[in-house]
Amino acid sequence: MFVDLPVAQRLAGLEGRISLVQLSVPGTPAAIEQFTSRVASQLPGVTVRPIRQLAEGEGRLFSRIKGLLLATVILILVLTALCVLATMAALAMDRRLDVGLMKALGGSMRQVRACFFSKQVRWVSPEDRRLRRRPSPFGVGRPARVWRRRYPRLEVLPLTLALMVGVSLAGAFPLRLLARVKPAVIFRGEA
Amino acid sequence: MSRLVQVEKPRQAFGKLRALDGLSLTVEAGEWIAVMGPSGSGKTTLINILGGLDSPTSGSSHGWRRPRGPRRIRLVRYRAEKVGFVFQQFHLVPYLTALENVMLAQYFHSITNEEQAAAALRRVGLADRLEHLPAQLSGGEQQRVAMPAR
Repeated sequence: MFVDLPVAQRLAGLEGRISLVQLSVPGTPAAIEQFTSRVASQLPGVTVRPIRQLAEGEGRLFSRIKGLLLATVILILVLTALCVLATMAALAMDRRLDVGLMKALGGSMRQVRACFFSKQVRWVSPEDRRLRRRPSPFGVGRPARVWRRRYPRLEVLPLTLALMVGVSLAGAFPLRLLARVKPAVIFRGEA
Repeated sequence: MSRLVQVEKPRQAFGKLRALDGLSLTVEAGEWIAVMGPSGSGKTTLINILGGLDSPTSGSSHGWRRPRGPRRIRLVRYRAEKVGFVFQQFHLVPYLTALENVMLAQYFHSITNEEQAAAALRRVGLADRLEHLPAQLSGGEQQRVAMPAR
């Protein structure tokens, strides 16, 4: 709480006696330095001591923590993307017989990819449709309300959507390899 | 009679092994053809080529009324609209029910129709097996699911 000096002195019963005055001076380090010199020159008997070093130190620490958090988030995102990619590659290889069958039935790779893509979206998205369909002891509307609370910060949504699309596209890469393979080759177990 | 399928000396080789070599075949509309031969004589290879599942190393093969367009798209439409396969191992999708297996073929052909799919399964005597997975069906039942599913 900041009050005028005379008020503070009167309240404390210390009129005319000053031991410490703290000033908040927003600005760059150079501006603060200039202000300090000016005060020191105008008040010769007063010791003027800037405490900006401490504030700068806190700022640097905060920047470091922020950087560390950002790096951690990026690392987690990259690891998640790699995990989804690896899972999709394994799934594509595991389901190559299904891909062959779908192609043999006359499915275009666009349709086959659509099947896999819909599965990926369910994996990557934090919202799982099956979860919402699951019967809830709290009633039908309860899971939807819980889901809405998962997005308190709207600025995260574009990042999540971009990540979903990016990972899904990257995850579809293994399917491109299977797209070139003829169904008979898959059925023979050569792919 | 109109020609449905024509094959002109297709050759298919797997490494040094020649699975198919120089056979020519024409199938007219309404004809029933049985291809017989010993194991490894190339029956499956021939059927795969006829059905557009594989292409020969050399020679030519085409369904007489194969749709026009780029080769890749032609093949997809040819498989969807002109060819029906009951595979030796049936190749049903194991995690889909009998009904869903039939509907999968509908999906790739045009649009799904659950009533039609169920009616097709009822016609082959599987009215009480619609919701069964392939693993819950006998070999004969799986084969009967594969017929409307293809």
